[in-house]
Amino acid sequence: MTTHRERTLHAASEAARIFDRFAPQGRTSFDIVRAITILGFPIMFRPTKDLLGATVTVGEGARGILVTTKRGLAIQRFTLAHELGHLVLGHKLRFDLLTSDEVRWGPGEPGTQEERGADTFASELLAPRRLVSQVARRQKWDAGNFRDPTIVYQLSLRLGLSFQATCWALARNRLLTEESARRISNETEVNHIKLALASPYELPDSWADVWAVTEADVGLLLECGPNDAVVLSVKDHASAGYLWDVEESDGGFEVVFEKPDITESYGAEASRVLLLRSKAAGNHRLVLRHKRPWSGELAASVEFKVTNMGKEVDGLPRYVKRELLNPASA
Amino acid sequence: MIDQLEVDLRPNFGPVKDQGARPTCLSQALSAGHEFVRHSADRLSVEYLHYFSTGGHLWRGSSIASARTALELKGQPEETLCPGFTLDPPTGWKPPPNLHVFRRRSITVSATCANVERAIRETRVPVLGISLPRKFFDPASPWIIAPSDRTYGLHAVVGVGIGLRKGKLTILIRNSWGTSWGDAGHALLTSDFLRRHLIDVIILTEEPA
Repeated sequence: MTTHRERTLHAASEAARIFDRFAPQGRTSFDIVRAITILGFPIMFRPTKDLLGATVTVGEGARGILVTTKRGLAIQRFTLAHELGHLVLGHKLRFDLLTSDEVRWGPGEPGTQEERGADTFASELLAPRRLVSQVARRQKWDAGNFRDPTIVYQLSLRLGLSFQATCWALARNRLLTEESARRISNETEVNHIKLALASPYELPDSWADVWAVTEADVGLLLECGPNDAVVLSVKDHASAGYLWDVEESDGGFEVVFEKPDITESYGAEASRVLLLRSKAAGNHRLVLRHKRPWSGELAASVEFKVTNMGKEVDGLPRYVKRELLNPASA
Repeated sequence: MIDQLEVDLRPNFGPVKDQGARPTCLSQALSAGHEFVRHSADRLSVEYLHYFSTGGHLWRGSSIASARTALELKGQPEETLCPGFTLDPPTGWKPPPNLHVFRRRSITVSATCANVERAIRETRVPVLGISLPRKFFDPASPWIIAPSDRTYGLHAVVGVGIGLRKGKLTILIRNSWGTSWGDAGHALLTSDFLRRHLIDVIILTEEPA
């Protein structure tokens, strides 16, 4: 009979093995759909009424994963990783009912050994310390910054996890104490953070997120929801005639609000906060150019890659559909 | 081409400069004004004035007070002795020492359209500190720039002429963004623009004793 510690270590080690094989390239979150698909487990999304996810038999001796479409992308991703945990750890067929996401991932929460093992596996796969550290290094966050719920929220978006799951991942990685993680998880109103970041722009729905995008995100894929907003701080060399402008593109991003911050000295850079939203769901390049508007003379440009398809919908995963339609893109 | 002006001091100035990506707008405008009041064809060193206006922090902007003090106490040599940069100078750059410099006192007056008009009529070209509306970045013929509530930083230009457009006073300005901007580097600001965006007015006076 194995101990709790041995089971936890086994789950973590299996997660690390799979993370190593599919380590994120050019993105900040672990591509769980791609990993599961390549591992040979079929995935199906269905509008299940009371079921969060399940491991199911899909043929003779073959197993697959069923996940609800009734939750957001972060929950879908964690559920996929959790169900993969059941499969990799050799658990029996599982049906995980819709429960309160807010309490499910706290350490010491009630649950069977297998459920706790699958949660550990999922957390270690989607938010291992090295991935959290990688994001933090790029963004110049240190452990002290993780006591700030706004930073935790921004980290959660980049990891593709819920705010609560991110709190517990930070505790598990010893970047927050369990007490701090519990307090931040329980006391933070994520909607207040969103409103503060987006104000005075009103988000179209309460599920929409607000990404505070920085230079550290340049070149990385940002996985957003269709109604998410992007907040960008830019510094214009306005007194030399240069302004940052968002490149126009069909279905791409548009500036819905900007907050100028006038400097008091002549010639100094002028800070400006841009709030952008996408005109349509899809895969976008968000390109900003620092140029002289009258001549087009360019001083600098940056590009962000954004996919804002949001949660998976009924049927096969988007990744699989794309592969079926265009196998060369694999 | 901007014409039909009541006062047009453009012929008394040298070619319009382009400050490039440098934060030197105030030194550019003061230098243009200084060249004008010296009645000399010699161009003066913008970089030298900017160095002393910013205390050697060449990548920063400058305040009206520090730029006026630098012009009066440190002055500026001819540009050939201390040429400018279009990108940030190398780290640790300093102007060459022991140059012959030209110094100039200045006064500030209330930032009103009437004071700007009076200074130009008296051929004492005013340096104008303004906030920048979006239209300033992409003016179109007939080169009259309208005011706007939203602004993008501070800038300095020189008032070099007066005209009437549809019966309203306009001020001709000389910019430092090259000749591709506006009408060969010039544009017209309405009195509405000045009421909304004019912040400081400097008028160069005599040489210090």
